[in-house]
Amino acid sequence: MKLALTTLCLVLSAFLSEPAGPEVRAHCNLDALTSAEKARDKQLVPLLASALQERSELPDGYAYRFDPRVTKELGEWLAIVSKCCQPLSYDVSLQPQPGGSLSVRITGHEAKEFIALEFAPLTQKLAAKDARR
Amino acid sequence: MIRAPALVGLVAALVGAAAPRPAPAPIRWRSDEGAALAEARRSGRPILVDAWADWCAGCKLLDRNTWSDPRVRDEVQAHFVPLRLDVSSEGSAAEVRVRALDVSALPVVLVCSSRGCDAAAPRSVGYVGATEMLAFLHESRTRPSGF
Repeated sequence: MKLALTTLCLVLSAFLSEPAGPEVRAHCNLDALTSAEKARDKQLVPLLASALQERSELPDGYAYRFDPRVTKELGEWLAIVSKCCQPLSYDVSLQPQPGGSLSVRITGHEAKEFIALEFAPLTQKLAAKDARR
Repeated sequence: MIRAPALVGLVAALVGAAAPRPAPAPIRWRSDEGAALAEARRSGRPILVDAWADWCAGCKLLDRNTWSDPRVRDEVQAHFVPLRLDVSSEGSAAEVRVRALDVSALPVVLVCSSRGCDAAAPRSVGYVGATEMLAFLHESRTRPSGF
């Protein structure tokens, strides 16, 4: 009986620890965006880049902190990019207003380098500012 | 006793073995599918299709980390006819062709037989590093799909 229970537990634990399937790697979805969304993305990126205050590293991605005055635009932009750049997580945090910070954590499985490159246009102005200091 | 010519040969072999191997040349991507197909038919090698776009971060990472890896370069040069379809421009002939291959995400790498390419071609979707790409290339070149 004890042996049967142990065997059952082992089988169950092996089954439960089995990965759900192959990981989907970071990619850009070709069909996700309409022409209007692509055009809007081009307008929003420079605006958000001007409002970016800090980029910090996370184990599996990056956190981007913005001026909270672009909350609406950030939301609009995330609705666009999250359809295109997959399979990433976008966690938005807005601290109590006024004065609290606005940030988004973009993360994904083995996608850190992809995230850095894909969202590099957001950080160019910040990098230039840092270089001048 | 070792004779002089044999000794010279032995030393040359040892020096040769110790010398660093020259890095394989960068992959020479063909851009004309018709010419790549003709080359594949002549050589009997499958076509390796890399659908690429200038806005695609994953495609640039493949260039930076995967296609530049000497093991991957060796594998591609020895066993494939590499073809890059640049789909940067919406509505371009390359984009129409890629869509006909049932591609909806970039980066994507397909392996097609020397008879041509269709939507059933084995593919790797998304950014992968050199080791994973090598495994995909090894596996798919033994059973490429075609018309």
